[in-house]
Amino acid sequence: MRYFRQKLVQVVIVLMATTFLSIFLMRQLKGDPAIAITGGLVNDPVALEHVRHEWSLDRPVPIQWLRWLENTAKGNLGQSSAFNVPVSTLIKERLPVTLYLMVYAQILSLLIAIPMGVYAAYRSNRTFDRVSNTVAFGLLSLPSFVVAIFLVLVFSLHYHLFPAAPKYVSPFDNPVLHFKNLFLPVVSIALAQVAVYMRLLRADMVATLQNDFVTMARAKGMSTARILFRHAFRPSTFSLITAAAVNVGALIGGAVIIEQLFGLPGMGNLTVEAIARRDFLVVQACVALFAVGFVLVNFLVDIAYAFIDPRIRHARALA
Amino acid sequence: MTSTVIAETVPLLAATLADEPGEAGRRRRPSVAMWLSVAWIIGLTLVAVFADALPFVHDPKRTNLVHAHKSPSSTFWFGTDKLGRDIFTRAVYGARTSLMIAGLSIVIGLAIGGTIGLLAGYFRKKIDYVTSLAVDVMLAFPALILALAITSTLGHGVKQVVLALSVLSIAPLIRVVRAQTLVYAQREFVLAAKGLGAKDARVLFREILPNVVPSMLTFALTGLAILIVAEGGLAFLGQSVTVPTPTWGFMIVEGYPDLERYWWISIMPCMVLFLTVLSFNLVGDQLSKRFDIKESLA
Amino acid sequence: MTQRHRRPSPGRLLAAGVVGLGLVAAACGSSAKSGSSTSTSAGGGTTTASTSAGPTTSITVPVNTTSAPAVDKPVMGGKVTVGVEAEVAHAWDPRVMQCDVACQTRARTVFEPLMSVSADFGNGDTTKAVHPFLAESLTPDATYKTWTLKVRPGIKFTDGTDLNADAVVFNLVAQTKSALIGPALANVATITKADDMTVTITTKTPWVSFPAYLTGQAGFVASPKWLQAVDAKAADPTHMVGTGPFMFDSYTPGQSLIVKRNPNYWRKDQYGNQLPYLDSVELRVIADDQTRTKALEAGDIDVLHTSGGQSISDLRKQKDTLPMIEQAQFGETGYVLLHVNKPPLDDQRVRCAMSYAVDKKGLIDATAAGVNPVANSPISPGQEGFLADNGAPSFDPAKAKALVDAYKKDHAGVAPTVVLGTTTDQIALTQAQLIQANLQDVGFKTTIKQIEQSAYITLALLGDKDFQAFGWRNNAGFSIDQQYIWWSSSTAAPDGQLALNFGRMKDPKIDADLAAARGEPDAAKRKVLAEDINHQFATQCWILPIGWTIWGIAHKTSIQGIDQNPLPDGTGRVGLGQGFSGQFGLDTVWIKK
Repeated sequence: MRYFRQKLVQVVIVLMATTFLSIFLMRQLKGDPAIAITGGLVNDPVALEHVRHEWSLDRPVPIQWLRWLENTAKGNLGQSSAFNVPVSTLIKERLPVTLYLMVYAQILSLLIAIPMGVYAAYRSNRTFDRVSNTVAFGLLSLPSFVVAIFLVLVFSLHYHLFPAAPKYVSPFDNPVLHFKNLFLPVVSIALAQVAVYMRLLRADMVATLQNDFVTMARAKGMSTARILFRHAFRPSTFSLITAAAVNVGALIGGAVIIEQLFGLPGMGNLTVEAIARRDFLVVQACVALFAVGFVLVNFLVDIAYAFIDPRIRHARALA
Repeated sequence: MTSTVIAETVPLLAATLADEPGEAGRRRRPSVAMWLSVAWIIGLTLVAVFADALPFVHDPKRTNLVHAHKSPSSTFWFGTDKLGRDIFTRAVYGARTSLMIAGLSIVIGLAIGGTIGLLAGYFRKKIDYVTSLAVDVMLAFPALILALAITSTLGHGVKQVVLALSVLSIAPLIRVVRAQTLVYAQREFVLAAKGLGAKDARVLFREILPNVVPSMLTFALTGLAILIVAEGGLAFLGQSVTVPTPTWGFMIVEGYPDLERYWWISIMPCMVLFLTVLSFNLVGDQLSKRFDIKESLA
Repeated sequence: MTQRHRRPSPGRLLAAGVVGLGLVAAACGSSAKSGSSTSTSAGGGTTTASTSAGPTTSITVPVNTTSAPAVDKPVMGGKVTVGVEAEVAHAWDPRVMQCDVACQTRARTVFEPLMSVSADFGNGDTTKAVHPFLAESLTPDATYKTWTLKVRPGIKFTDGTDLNADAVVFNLVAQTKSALIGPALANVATITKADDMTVTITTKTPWVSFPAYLTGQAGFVASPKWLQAVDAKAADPTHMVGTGPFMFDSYTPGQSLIVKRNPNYWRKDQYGNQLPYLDSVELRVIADDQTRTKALEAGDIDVLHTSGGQSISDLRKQKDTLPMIEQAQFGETGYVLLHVNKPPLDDQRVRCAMSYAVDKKGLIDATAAGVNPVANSPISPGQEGFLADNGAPSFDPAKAKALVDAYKKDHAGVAPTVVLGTTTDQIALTQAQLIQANLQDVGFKTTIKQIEQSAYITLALLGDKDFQAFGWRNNAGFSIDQQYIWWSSSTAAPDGQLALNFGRMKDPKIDADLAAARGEPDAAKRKVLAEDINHQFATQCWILPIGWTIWGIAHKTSIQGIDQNPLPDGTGRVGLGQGFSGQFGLDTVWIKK
């Protein structure tokens, strides 16, 4: 119980700090936000003052932040100054895109990384291990946008298999197009992650396989597959889970570069647009969402740890 | 960029911590790949440093529209870009900028983040609690907004990019250094030193720091690779140094619209970036194995 | 493939609210802002033309091309997908939306203006270019201070309410009160309902060109019932309700607007078919030029508009499979705006040295595939006062160097320093780098300052000291009066105050000419004044002109009827791009099977 209380305090502090910081930094950006909001088309000082008042820009940062806090607590995220729709509508439209991107990327990379990692650990230091290690290093060293550029060059421009500027299609409207359009962006993100996950899993698994209980299981005549997947796998997933969690947490904010490159209407793209147009309320919502997602994911990781490793569960109980 | 930088930072650093104890005690000769990586890094650094004096390196800002869009040849090893500038030259000067930015940032980040991590891991309790919270806040905050705020108010330049990247690398570095410190702070020799009445400062300096430094070095190398990529990401979003100073990231972005027609403008810097990052990763990995081996023998 | 979301150049966005307000022909006492740009669909191809009263030149001047007139009978039905270049801010309330060309193209599927520009542009007499559209007539009295607007009968909004005098009054009054449009209509004194279908408008001073203002955003008529509901927060401002050929279906900001056929639309085509032909239109925002073009090539969209040189060049090569209408007249000028109230740019030698130093053709080749013609002033082809050769500096580095040396002599050998401001998009950056290289070659000291788009506009408006020379794009139109607010010293407020004359330029000769042209009813005399202004720009080098914009509207071969929009009074066609260069209407578009 004490643990949950601690976590709750942590969430609240992180949320408050990040949203405050966000308003503070946004206000530091060069250029009059009122002029930006009106697109430079209104040059009547009175009207601009009115705009400032409407968006609480004529008040000091703490007041603006408290106003935002107050409204958000009431469930009102406000109106987007740039798009003239409620902020919640924008989030409802954009969040799924980012989530799909993230989830598919994780699934894909885990699907590839887990078997490879397990096999590499099983046959450690043999050919497969060495080769996959080298390949992993190569993939690790490729930034996601470089991968994306290569993929676009080959599969969009040369072979016309996938669109270079995909339009987001909901899976409920057209599942085939949905996957086709998201394919390249997902692979761009997943490729580097595959490498990381594979290496982490392999390393942990090699360590686990040294343990006595594995030797004993083998002595008892248990099959290799059973040992690998039923007994050795779970305790080897610590680093993997940590890494996956961090990735997920980060990607909730939107893989900005990938979204920009492919023109996908996700959260990352929204944040960039909103900052550019000085759409304060949208930026706030994005920052808050990202912070919540981050803390949530960390929290889930802690639970996952406890689930995997009974020692931690007991240690916590004693704490 | 949101936190793809961070996302890539922590797992990679975590990866370097996950070594293979089964190989401890067996002296492994550094592989061919390792030597090639070292050679690349040294070669690149030398060329970057002495660029002005080298005969095959020209003026990175010299525009010459007559030579625009020339494919790689014996005159222009990497071809020319849309303003007729030699891409090989720009890649060399880009190395200078990118390495300098990444190097400075990781050093500053490590200095600040490392110190805080050390203190948090050693003293624990209140300091640790506050630090953890601060780290969470920093990691939860979208990196892009910070980068934008810095370039918007302070302008685009090497100093500003270094500032942005240093600040962004502090939080992950605190985490990993703290983790390392925790390992050592519980060790017998530390407890022994304390028992003998050694002051905290002395223990930190004499007992813990020397053991943490090797892993910090490893983080530095891997972090360098990550920051080179991060700078590329910033350049992609228009937040890096001012033109016409070349950086790899910016060259890749510049060449992207012409990818189909003039692929070399983007692909050449991509290759250089890739090889450099790969080299740093490999060397960092090898070092981590060596240091960890030493540690288990100690 | 997309890059970072490239928003339209600040000049165009800024010009939007001001420029999209209708046309300003010569007028007495017109204190309003400049009007929109339009283009004609002249007979295709370029012709040799000279519009100067002086020595004739045989320089090829671009004119607009047109799609072939419809020979087949239009077919009803179908859906068309259009690719436009940017998302609008504050969609879709005509009183507040910041309407640039993409917005105009989209909004005009639902909203219609009171007046309209004809394709022939009045054949040189700008006052004859404006024809009634939703209005049946707009007639002034002898003093040009009282205007009688008769509303066209039998038109309903898509929510069932009638278009009548009340509706027009409601809209016009709201526009005069809007922070965005209000200043343009400042010369309007009263707006009253005379009877059910008649509105009386009085102006403060005689305003010959008043009708022109009602061809743009100021003249849009939306359903008052809807507008009132929006004000009461009982209706969604993005669910627009107008009289147009289409009605609102759905809107996803940043992505697409879908409109569907208005079954009760008031116009028919010449065969008696109810307009519009299409069942629905989807207008997708694809910010990046090349991505949009690729989408058309791949068949993902059916029509697009583009002003990107590379895209136009690529599309020209595909004119059999993807025909393209080009608007090469009345468009914007791309230039480097100079902030001239401080050294060294207050020195004419320095400014002209910059003009001599820059290789404009090379720049256009590098950034726009050589598509745009090299500009010599802010008066683009077709505009009143256009001169194919106005004596402006050409590319001559030797002359530039001489001027710089002369400057240095007067300043103890110190070279002039110029800060080049640019946004962070690729084309702007390339331009800045090239200009920097050119300037440094002749002895300037230059640095480039990268500024984010939103900050850019602010700095220009406020005359920031760091903003010495910065890339801009503006000044579309067809009458010289439309240039008034940009160059008149009356709008050159000091640094730190908002001013539309961003460069803070004060040229007494230009002032005098602009003032005279404003009140000059004779077209020939206006032309002389306009050309004088042109010459003045050339000799004083107030700006560094680079190139003139060309807009291409490219479409699949099956798409017909883009510029076949008939004027309600039967006198001809609506001008393509009316309201905005790059804009086109979907009223009469149909799909050939």
